[in-house]
Formats: sequence, C-alpha cells, structure tokens
Amino acid sequence: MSTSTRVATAMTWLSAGLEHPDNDLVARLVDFTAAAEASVSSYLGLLVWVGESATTIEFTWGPKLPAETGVPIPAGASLQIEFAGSRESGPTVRIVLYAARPGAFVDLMADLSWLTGHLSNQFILDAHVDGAVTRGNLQQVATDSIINQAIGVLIEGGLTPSEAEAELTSGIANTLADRGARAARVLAGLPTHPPDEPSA
Amino acid sequence: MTDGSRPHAAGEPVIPIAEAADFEGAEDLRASLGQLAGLVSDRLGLQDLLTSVATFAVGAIPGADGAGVTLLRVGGTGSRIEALAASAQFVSDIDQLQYETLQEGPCITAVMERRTVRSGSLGGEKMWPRFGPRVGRLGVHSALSLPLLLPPHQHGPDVGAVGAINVYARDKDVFTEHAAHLGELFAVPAAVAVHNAQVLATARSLATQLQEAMSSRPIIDQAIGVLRARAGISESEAMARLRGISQREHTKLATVASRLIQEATQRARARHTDQ
Repeated sequence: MSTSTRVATAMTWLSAGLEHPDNDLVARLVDFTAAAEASVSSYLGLLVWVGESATTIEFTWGPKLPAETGVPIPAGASLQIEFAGSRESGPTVRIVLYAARPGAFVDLMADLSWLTGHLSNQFILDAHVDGAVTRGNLQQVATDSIINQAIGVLIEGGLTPSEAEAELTSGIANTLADRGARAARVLAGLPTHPPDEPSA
Repeated sequence: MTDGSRPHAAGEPVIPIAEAADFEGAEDLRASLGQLAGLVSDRLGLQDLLTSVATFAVGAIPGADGAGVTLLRVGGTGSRIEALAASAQFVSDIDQLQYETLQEGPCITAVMERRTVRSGSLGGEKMWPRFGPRVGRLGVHSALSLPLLLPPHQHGPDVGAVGAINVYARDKDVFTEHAAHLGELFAVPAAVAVHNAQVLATARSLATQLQEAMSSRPIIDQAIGVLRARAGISESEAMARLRGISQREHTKLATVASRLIQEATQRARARHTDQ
C-alpha cells in the first residue's frame, strides 16, 4: 500500500470521530495542497506532525513526493507553519511545506506573517530541507484505538478505568505492541463481531 | 508578493505600493493599497479579509458605489466558489443573482476569460442577456469585474484566476478605461493577498480538524468499547449509535462518549462498593 493510500485510510478513519459529519481530513489535505500548489510553482508536498498528546503522528503527503517511505525529499526550500496546542484546542500541529526551488517560500512566509501579525515563531523558513517521505507512526493511531476500545470493554465489564488500564499492562513489557496485542485479545473475546480496526 | 526582484525584510508586507507618477486617482489607489497592506490582525479570518478588500476596492476605483470579492477554490476537478464578501448589501444581492440564480454575469466572464470586463449599461447588455436587465431593474447600471490572477512567473502559468473583484455603480457609464486600469493595479496585489489568506485558512482548517480528531478519539474509542461489550455490535455500528445519540440530543459526540464512560464507570464503582 502506498504512503498516500495509508495516509488517506488513516485520515478517513480519524474523520469518523469529528463532530460535523461533513468534516473530512482527506478533503482538508486536498484543499490545502491545491492552495499551496497555486501559491508556489515548485511545490512538492507536505509533512504533518501532530503531538503533545498521548499519541504523536507524523506523515508526508503530496503527489510530487517520492512514493516510497524513507526516500529523501528533493527539497530546495521548506516552510513550517505551527498551530500551537492548548487544553481547549488539542495537540500542537506542525505542517512543513516542501518545494524544489530554493527560496520558493520567502514571499509566502512574508505574506503569512503579515496576515497574522506574527513576525517570528509561527513560521520557520528552510529548516527542514533534509526531510524524507514517511508514514511515520500512523499504525499507532490504529493501536491506540484498539487499546481504548478494550479499556471501554473492561469498564463495561465492571473494572474501573485504572483497573482496566492495569489489566492491559500487567505482566507484560508494557510496550505499545504488547498492550495492543492484549487489547486485541480482549476485543476478540467479544460476542458476534470481530474488531474492525483501521489499517494505516 | 514581489516581482521576483525586490528583496524585503522579514515581516514587511510584500504587497507593492504603486509608485507611478501622479495620475488621476493615484492618491485613492495608493491609500487603498496602503490599507490592504495594513490588514494585520492576529485573528483576521478569511471572510473579514475579503470584506476589507471589497471595501478598499470601492476606495480605489473612481465612481464605485459597492464592490464584492469572490474567491474560488483552486485546483480539483472544477472551480467552485470558496467564499464571497461584499461592501454593501446590494452587492451581495447582485452576486447571489449572478452565481446562484442565473450563473451568468461579469464576474463569471472575467474569471472564465481571465480578462477585465466592463459595462456602462447593464440593462441593455448583450453579454449577459438575463443578468443585465435584472440588475438594471435593481437600479445598478455600471459594472467592472477584475479577475484575481496570481503572477505566472511565481505561481506557474496554469493556475488560472483565484477569484474576482466585482465593482458596481448605480449611474450609467461610470467605469472608464482609466477606472479599469486603476482596478487592475489594485487587483494584482489583492490577488496574492486573498490567495495567501486562503492558504492560511486551509492550513488552519486542516490543523483544527486534526486537533479535534486526535484529542477526542481516545474517549470516543472507549465509549465504542462500552457499546460493543454491552450490545455485541461492531466498531462501526457502535460509532453510528454514538452519532445517532449526538444528533438526537444535539450534544457533541465527545460529550456523549464521555457521559457513557462516566455512567459505566459509576456502575463499576457501585459494584465494587456492593462487594
């Protein structure tokens, strides 16, 4: 499965939990890509990093990026845009744009800084030109989902939340993979339906 | 936006101020471009920016009674309107007529043909045989539409129009060639400003939805687990039930999920107390 397909699958799955049913992370990625491509002629693609929460994810996206994970991005320029997280809004999001031509983002950064009244830290120019294609740890999104569903199953079965979390970690190495495997067994023990975890 | 040759300091707006020698309307144009360059706000949303651009356009173009800005969604399988703004209600009414009712009018022509379009007598205008007379009956007789075009040397030759500025006047024959020229001078930096605002707006929209998805998903997944155990249903069926409750009760999905978890936890704690 290509990187872009994995990303689209993970984003579609994440979109299912958004408040407004018309909200769609894939559509947002497409919209942003179209706007960025029109703004910078040598635009290649972007990297998204979402962090400072229980789960950190990172992935690249763009039709002009190399298809395979780990391949260096032939970027001559980059622009990072950061949306700081908070208790109300959620985790910090960083979007890094890549372009082939050196200096490609100078004007865009100046305009974005002027539009927001920020002179410095929301935008960082040319600090990520050595990036590589990644689907990062999108699998963690799927594993965390299984773990949280298993916690819900155990709570419904009579355990308190802390007991449920302890049930998933007792006697094992407490790696994400171990907890995920134990959680999957909890879900597999449910009647009628197997777990339909997202494949990222 | 620069012309590719003028360096600028960090934070300096890159919208060029017209440096042409004095000509009729030059002061108003410079004032409007200066206002465009001064649109600095921590929270200036796309809609507010477009409304401001429309208002400044009225100041820049002699004879204008009102103006509107249309922003198109760039790329994809066809253009569609992303946002609309107007300096006055009558402009909104005319643009609704143009885009929604008739799908005909000066902005549509300007965008499709990527050229400035002008009319001094809308009532008898052959270019728009349905739009013109209807707008004429509203008491508006002159129109000037300017496509918002990104500079091709920076943005590629095939981007097309990212939108348009529509300017209207109640009297006939208001917009001369000179007015059209001033409008074109205003439209160049306006195109880059509104498009880059759209870049920021789409980035913000992506980030906001990612933040929401990542922060609410853990509690939603736990609630899915509760429902799966209670009812023996699949993940997708459990999600559908949560969304159904959310819609019926007009309550946020995450709030419904949180309540389910709390109720299940209270039952679990009550069982512990009983034992």
